[in-house]
Amino acid sequence: MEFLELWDSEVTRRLSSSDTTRLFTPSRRQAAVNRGAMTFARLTNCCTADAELTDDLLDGQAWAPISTPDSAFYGFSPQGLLVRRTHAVTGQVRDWPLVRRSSEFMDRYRSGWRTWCADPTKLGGGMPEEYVWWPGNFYGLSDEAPLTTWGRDGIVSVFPTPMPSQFPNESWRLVAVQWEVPVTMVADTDRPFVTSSSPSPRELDSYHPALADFAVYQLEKLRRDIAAQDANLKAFNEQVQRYLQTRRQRGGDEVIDTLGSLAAENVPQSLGAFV
Amino acid sequence: MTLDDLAGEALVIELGADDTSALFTLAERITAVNRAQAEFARETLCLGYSVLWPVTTWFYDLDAIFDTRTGHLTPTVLLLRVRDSQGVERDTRLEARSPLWFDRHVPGWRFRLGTPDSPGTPRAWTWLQQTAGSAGGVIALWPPPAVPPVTETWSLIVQCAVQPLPMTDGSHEPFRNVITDTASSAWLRPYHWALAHRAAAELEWLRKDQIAIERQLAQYQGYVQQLVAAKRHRGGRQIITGAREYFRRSGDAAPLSWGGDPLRS
Repeated sequence: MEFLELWDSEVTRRLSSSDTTRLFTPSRRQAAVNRGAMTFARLTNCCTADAELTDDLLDGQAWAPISTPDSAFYGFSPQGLLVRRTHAVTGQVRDWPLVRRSSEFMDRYRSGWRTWCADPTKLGGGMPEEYVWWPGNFYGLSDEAPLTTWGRDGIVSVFPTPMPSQFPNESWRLVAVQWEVPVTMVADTDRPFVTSSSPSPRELDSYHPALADFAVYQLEKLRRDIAAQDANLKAFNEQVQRYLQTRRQRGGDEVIDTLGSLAAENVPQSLGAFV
Repeated sequence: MTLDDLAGEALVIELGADDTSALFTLAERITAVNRAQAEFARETLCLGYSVLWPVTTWFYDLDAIFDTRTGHLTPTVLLLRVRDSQGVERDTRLEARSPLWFDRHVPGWRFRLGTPDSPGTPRAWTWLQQTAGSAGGVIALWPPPAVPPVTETWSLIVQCAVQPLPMTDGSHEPFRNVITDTASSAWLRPYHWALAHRAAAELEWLRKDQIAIERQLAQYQGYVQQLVAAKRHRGGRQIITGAREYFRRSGDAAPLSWGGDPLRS
């Protein structure tokens, strides 16, 4: 569905009201639909994008800030962080996946991993295997790096310390497969769930009406109609659950990601736990 | 979202009222949004800061460490940084223990004056939250730090959760770090609307609408729970620490086995 169809006809039908001048103005409808897209993405993590975090890595460069001025980043997908290896002679480009670890895990099982030195020859290292993400600037020291480039969305650290020079003809970059807030729809022909690196996925077409459900849930607050709010929120949550169910893989390679379901478990659904 | 968005349209929708002169004045709304922001940061510990501090003794006043940089909340992690003569820095996480744990396992650790015997390389720390003369509390290292070898310099990295900076201008986004004052954290943008829920709950008291308060708080808590879960590592990436570890025999190589420590009876 396109943006116009969502905020106009779909919302009008659910509201049973064609009011566009008093309560349900076009700008409110549009904002509510966009908020529906953001909420759906937040609960399902359906919007992922590739983003290069660094230029070519130097020997010993184990840290990278995640901040970008207009970043839509809000977390790492299970695919997490990759080392993109480019071979200068063959032209091959390969992505080398890293395993995400907590800093607690690293402190316990990777003795000496927190070792830094301006001179990389004094450090051991090689091909990175693991990474840690510190959100919220917990490890950024103001005297180590300028604040302007450091710490807004945290930093990632990889281990072992990268040493690209040990791999002849290769250059490495860190690439995040990240969850993103979808791009805000503005034009009538815009489509939902666009990210910084990909257009609106066809797979998500059948979930577009959920955005209208959420928008109406929002707009019904202006009429203080609790029954209508709950009905629309329920419809929205059903679509969220349907999406999460379809994404669940069977078998031993399942990636457990409980963000959406945790939100559902912890708060009574009848009270609109999802939003 | 900006302060204008949150205190304006977001609260109009959540309250179902565009009143800005009787009950829900703009000042009330801004106060409620800022209070919600502080509460969200306190519950999720989503903002942090680190200070590098020289190792000179075995206890430290957080107020002194953070000095004029007010707004620190809870110390979360302490690292001992050892810098050698080659310029190589190695950070080692110190185990966090409660004062009660120290009382049970390290008799005689509560020195009020002077320095405990048996110095060594610190391996654990604790935080005394309520201490006379310190609003931030006091952190204590154990074993008390020895004089480092001449080729080494020891420092502490104190990581602390901090408050967000209150929003005062309409263009301010939530969750600016109160100490570093960098731009708003982009990764927290999906959670901005939580502040509208929390602020609406606060303002609903003025209408005495108890059901609305509960609905708003439930929705706010949904955001809090989701962010806390998002920060948590799942499955094999998580460490499960059992109580058994606390009672390892002395002489083990475990981080907190006090082998040879005369204070340990």
